[in-house]
Amino acid sequence: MRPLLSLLAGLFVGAAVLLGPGAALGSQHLSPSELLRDGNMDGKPDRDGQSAMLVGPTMRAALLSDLDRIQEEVEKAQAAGDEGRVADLTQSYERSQAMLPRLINQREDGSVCFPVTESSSQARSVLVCSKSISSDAVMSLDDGRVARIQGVLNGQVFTGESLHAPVRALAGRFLVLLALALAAFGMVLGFLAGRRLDPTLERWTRWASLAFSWTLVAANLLMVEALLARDFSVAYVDQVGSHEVPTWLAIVSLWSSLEGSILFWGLIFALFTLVFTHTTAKRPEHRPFAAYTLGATLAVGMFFAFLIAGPADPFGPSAWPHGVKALHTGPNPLLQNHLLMIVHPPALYLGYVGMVIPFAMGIAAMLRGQLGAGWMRPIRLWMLVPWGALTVGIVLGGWWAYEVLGWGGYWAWDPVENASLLPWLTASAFLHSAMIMERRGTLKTWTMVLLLSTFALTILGTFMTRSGVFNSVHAFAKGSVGPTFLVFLAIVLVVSVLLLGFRSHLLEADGDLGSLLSRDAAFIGNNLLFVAVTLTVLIGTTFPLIKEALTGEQISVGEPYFNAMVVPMSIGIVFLMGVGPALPWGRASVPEAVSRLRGPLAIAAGVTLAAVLMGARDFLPALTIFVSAFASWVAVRDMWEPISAIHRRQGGSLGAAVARAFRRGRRRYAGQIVHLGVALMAVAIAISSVYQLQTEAVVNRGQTMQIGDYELRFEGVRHTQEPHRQIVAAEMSVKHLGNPIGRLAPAMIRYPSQTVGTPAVHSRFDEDLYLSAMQIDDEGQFVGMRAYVNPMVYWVWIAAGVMTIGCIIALWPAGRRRQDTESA
Amino acid sequence: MSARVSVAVALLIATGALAWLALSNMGENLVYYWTPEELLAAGASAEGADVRLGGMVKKDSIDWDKEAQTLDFLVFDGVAEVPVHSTGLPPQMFRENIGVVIEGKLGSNGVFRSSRMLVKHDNSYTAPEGGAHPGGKKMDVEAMYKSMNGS
Repeated sequence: MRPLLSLLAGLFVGAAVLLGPGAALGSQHLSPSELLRDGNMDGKPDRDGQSAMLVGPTMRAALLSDLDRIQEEVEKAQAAGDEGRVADLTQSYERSQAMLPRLINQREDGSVCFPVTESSSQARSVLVCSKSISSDAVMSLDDGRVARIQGVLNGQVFTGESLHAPVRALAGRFLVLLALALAAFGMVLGFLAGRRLDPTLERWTRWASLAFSWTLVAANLLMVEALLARDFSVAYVDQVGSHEVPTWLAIVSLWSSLEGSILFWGLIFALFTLVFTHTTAKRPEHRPFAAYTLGATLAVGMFFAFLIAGPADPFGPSAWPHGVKALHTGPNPLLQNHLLMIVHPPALYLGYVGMVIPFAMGIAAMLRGQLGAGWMRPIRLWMLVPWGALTVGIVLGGWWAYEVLGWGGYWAWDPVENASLLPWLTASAFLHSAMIMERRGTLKTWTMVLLLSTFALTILGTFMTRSGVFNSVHAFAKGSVGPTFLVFLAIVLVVSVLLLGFRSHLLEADGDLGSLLSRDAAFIGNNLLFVAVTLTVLIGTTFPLIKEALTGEQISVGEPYFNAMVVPMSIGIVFLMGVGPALPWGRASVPEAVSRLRGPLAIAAGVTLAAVLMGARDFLPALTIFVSAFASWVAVRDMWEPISAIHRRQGGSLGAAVARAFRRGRRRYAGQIVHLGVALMAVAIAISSVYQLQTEAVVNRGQTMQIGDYELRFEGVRHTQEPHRQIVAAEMSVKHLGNPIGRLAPAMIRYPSQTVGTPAVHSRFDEDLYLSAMQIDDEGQFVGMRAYVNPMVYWVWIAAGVMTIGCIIALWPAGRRRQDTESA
Repeated sequence: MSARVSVAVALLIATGALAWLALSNMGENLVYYWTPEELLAAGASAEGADVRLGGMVKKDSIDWDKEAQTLDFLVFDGVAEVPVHSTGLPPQMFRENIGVVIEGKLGSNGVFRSSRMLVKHDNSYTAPEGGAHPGGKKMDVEAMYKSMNGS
């Protein structure tokens, strides 16, 4: 313990030594008070008594170009003799001009001045004047200091800063290189310790692993601090930082762009490694495998540390303030639009990165030459964590697309979406096949292949989304991120195949599979379908890349391909989800199978009939409802049967029976809850896709449009000015079946670099009203509106929640020590 | 034949069936990218085929009929231009000098009928200078297509 503490202490002292002087030399924020002290005094309030509003130079440029555009339109209208339009446009011009603050006044001596307001609580206003101000707003103060003016908003504190000494950049690079060294050191130690099972070596491996993790955590904290301090001398902050964005967005920018997101990947990786190192230390039964696992984990860690240190280096020095043409506008506006940006990437990364632990455990088992049930259980549990997180991450991604992108849907078979889905599919297959391995002693090779593939798909997915290969197959090779990923992927595949080959004797079956009419067969069917879906999505996603690489021809694979292939197979998976738990393990006679299956099938038929009568007349939704009802009933029955058996046998209250059954068969209950979530999601997806209503219209002010049971009236346009953006919203008042339910305001949001549309969504349990403004007339005379009614979308999110709850129940630590007497 | 071999054979057949299904399905759903220059060069053979046409909306060519909800404009890549006709609302941000990808068919009258339109959101795109002459800049439509894939 002591060496670990001293290592940590050394680290933090080192960091403090490096950062301390940096903090002193670094950011100097000139508040108006300080500027006053410098003698730039001219405390006259603004001319018209209004408080001065200073906007960032980039926002100002956008407003100015807007004025130019209106000017052009005025000239056109005048030439056409359209007096009414000229009047409208002049009004619009004046309104825009009023929003444009009086930024710069020039004095007789040639100096330029602009008003600065301190935080509104102090309500202090000064005029800052200087003899020189360049186009990117770097100004020399009269005393010779150079200050960068980034503007302020609506009375918030103005910040002018001197150049930062590039201390943070140096400290960051040091930390990353240290992490790389520790990972290499730990990897070697881990493999040695695993081979020799030497306690001292094992201890050192754990320390190296902890030190590596804490170093990466420190690097991430440093980057967040740099983003908050707006230290543009750090390359990544120069890329995505901005004075004008709110604080939460400054923090979230950490994962908004390539280099930062790989650094953030390192953070999640470090956290997983930390937790794993601590938990295995407490489990002597894991000892034979722990060191090898850490070795393999740190090998992967080495790859990522290498990426962060080299090809995707966020800590490099930037050229700021010289040579920077673009001004600091913050991260991509599409990512600034919604709070989901805060949770979706972390959840997705927890899923993606977490796959490394079960992968490393599998490698460890094969290296060690032992693949007993004792090690399979921890692997399954460690696979459940990223699986659950990935479920949440994928669904949050769909939710984000739904709320932000404005095309009315939540899944488009986009390559980036597919990349996140692929490992989820193989992980789901693995979770089932591992159960067969435990119970029947077969399918060992298959299970191991799934485990290794899941991680390989994770790396492939990261490669596809981070290397820019979907922008241009040939451009990706110009950077070094892409090739690095490919090399690593190749290494992973080669190592996996070699290990599988050399350890094939480990993976020989010591049991056998049941007949076709058994739970085993259902599990195998489920696995085959999962893998089939994985392959079709993989082919569809990578085919354009391969074709372009080989022939130079550019193509894309349309959505119908994915839907046509995946939907039937998914319905099959849901059906098997019902068959599996209904049949026993091993062998079932035909009468037995019939008696187990006929109840749920009958109920499903009844439910489907009811649904058809209620309006679900199309084949695929009706079939989906059928299989989902079937699977749900099997799940409920499977949960009920143990409870009633215990209640009958032992009497007492029903509640006690429930508690007892739950404690004894926690894994079964967790699994069935997840299955219920899956069934619900299948139905929700089917209904929301097939029964979507869509309409579009041009609506003049005061007029209405109809969709479904809704009536929408266009009330006018509302302009809102914010520090980092300008919002033009179309106000629609909404009536449902004649009752007013409020207003929705789909908008166009104008950022300095681009404009994005934002839909307005009104969610109810049964359906969503979704509005997307296609054209908004600036003067508010008309709006081109596209409206959707999406039934049952909310149930997709609810279903994901149910799946997550099931996953958490499976992982909940209480009572895990006790052996489960039943298994699902 | 032992059980193992028959399982392997069954798997092989299943994989083959899946691959054949996938590739044939995919074949029907492949969409090719064209620039106006390429489309015009293909001549009559391009008529009626489902393609994606990409380029820039030419300045002063937009004709939007609000009442009839039809939109006509010229799509331009610095070298050639193709007239486009679409119904319904123009997509968000649709205006002159913006990059656009149009899915549809070239009609026999030379007008491209659009079934779906995507607009590139960024302002950073520069308009191509006109004309099929050495000084005119040809727009890098391929780069534009690919950069729109993520949006």
